[in-house]
Amino acid sequence: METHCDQSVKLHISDEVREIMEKRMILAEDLKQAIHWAEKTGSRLVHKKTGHFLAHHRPTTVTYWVEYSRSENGYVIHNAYSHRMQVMEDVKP
Amino acid sequence: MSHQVDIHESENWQCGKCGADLEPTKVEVGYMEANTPWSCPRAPNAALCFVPEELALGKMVEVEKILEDK
Repeated sequence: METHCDQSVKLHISDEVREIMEKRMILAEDLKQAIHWAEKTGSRLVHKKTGHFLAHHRPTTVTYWVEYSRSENGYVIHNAYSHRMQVMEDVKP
Repeated sequence: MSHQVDIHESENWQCGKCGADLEPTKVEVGYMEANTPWSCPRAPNAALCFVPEELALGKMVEVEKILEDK
């Protein structure tokens, strides 16, 4: 699934989150695509207490998850993780 | 071999489209041509499954390694 997201979208990533991303080999571009897809389709979860969004995107063989919130000029990244197993989101009969 | 997501974490999340709570749902999780039954919290109307960080970095990694070593 290819997505073409606005390259000018700004991600606000703290040092702590950046370190997590580096450790997990997750690129900012991966998160941008996940956020772009979530914002475009509305397909995301919302945390009941914090109001954070949780989006995911599987461009190739890895699913990227990103917890984020909106800011004035972009998005704040709170957490990111990934996995290779693919969840078939259609209900099993 | 089936797996189950911790229900407690999923209670903190709801569907971003309709606000519905997540419901435990049987799905299949695939890796390297092997499918495993899994019980995942899922937004019922959006068909959106929730994979918590603990699962992604824990049990899923274990299963991936087992399948890769085969």
